[in-house]
Amino acid sequence: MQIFSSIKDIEIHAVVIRKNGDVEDLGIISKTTSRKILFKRILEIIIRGIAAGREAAIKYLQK
Amino acid sequence: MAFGANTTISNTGKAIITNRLIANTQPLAQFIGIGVGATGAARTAAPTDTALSSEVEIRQTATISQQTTDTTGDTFQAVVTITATGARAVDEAMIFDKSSSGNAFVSATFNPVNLSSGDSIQLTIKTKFQ
Repeated sequence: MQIFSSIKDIEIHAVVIRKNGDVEDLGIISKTTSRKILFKRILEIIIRGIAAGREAAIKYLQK
Repeated sequence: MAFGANTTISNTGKAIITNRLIANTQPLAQFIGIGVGATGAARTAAPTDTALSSEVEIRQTATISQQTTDTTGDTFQAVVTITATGARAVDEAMIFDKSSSGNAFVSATFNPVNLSSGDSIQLTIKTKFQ
């Protein structure tokens, strides 16, 4: 059996502290945008859709 | 490749994870460096990255912790504050397993953050496992 784990998201939040004490929250300045992850998210949505459709079909047939 | 904002775990970062799993001889990935060369080098963070394009300032030791994003303990967080010793347009950062040289864990490129001498940048880097 093979078990794969993956790193889903990496993000960087930045805050600049100026010398005079001013603080600027820049929010998320960089995050993971790999195609593999996007593809995986799309697949997850499709799989959830299929599962929901299957459940609906089963309920319909049980009526 | 053109410059672009991205964050990724490096190939050496994958080895850091597996090394930590099999033994405690792997140094912690707790040193964060910043740089100013990604834009000039037309570099977008990629898994093959091993070093910053143009590192500036001394790497600082981050406060590392385990956090929860979706499920308990699924996120590794590193927080660091680095002070600029000169005018800097910071556009890259990395987490390393050593205070100099060493192996990269996470590589990031982002639009330049302009700092004047004496300004500080606080970075919070979250790596979430699924």
